[in-house]
Amino acid sequence: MVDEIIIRKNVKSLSSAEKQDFVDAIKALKVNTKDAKIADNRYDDYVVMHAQTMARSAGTDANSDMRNLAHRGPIFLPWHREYLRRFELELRMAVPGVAIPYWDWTWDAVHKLTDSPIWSADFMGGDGDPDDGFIVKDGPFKDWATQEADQHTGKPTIKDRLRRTLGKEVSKLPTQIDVCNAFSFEFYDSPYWDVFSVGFRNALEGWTNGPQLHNRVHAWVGGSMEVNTSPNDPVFFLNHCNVDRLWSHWQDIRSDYGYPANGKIVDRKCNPIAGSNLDDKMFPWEKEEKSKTIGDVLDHRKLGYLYEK
Amino acid sequence: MSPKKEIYKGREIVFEIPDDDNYVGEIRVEIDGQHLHVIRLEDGTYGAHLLPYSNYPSLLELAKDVIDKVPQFRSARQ
Repeated sequence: MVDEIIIRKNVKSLSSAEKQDFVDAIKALKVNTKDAKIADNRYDDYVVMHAQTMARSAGTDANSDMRNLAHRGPIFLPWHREYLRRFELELRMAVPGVAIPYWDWTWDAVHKLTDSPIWSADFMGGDGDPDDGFIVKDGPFKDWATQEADQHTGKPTIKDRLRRTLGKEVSKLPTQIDVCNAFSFEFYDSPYWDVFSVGFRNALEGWTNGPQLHNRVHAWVGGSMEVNTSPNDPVFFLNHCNVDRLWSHWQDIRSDYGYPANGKIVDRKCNPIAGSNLDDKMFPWEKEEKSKTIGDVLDHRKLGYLYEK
Repeated sequence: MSPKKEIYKGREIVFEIPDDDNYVGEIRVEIDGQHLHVIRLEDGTYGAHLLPYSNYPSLLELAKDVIDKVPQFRSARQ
């Protein structure tokens, strides 16, 4: 049971006060050093956590497809749902009442960059400076220090600065037609549960005729969003909130939320893919007493949040 | 399979392309002697942990993007 229902709003409908609260909450985690566990502040803990999943293969055949404990497989959507839920709860401890807003990038795909509320100086700030390595130099995250991570272990390495190359790697954001194409898949995923799979998950993650949807947004924002430590850019959470929203809509029209039955997700060698089956707990929370299984996170309403229509 | 070398923005990229066109698995790639995790996938493209949202049609393209985009590799010469 949940104590209260959180409403996740569209970025476009946030009031000035709500934008400020979200920015304040993010900054509060960045200066919270006393609760840090794996990096030197609580925000960077989430950055490192994400990089650690990238460095851990999932499945005994992962050497051929790079499937890992949060990406390139069926775990992609449940893992990020749980990751955002935990992050949001920490934001709310810093600033009560705050919620992660979603960025419906299909709107931005057909509007001018300057019309978008997301890149304003009172919210996410703008593009990087092309004359200085595309470092972001305006808005609340001006000169934001990033935490980089080792490619093999995900452990913290050097610090850098937040960088963006909006629209330079790929010129267009995903459109409503791209979303509709993903929704045309009636099933969640299929063998061998990787970047070559046919199904909704792989389409939404963006490997089908990629980069599309989620992957395309990472590429479009560019800079810090393109590497294994992409949560360094707070925009990461707005993108994934939208991805989660799209998944929740797709789930609403499927029985049992569309996730394959427990034990069905096996690799090319017929071994269960670690952390991907319905009753599996998710890394790196699997040792916590109350950690959730994939099955526990399929219904977002039971996790205590809804999406504003 | 013999190592190939390329210089890009003053950085030395060493890589080995397998003779077998159907090879799938880890590939040797180094930038200034630093090992880079790279996998050749079953469709012949290449992927790296450090650039997780794209697969690349060529090893060289991937290595150049690592130098341009990944802070640990970008800053090695700075």
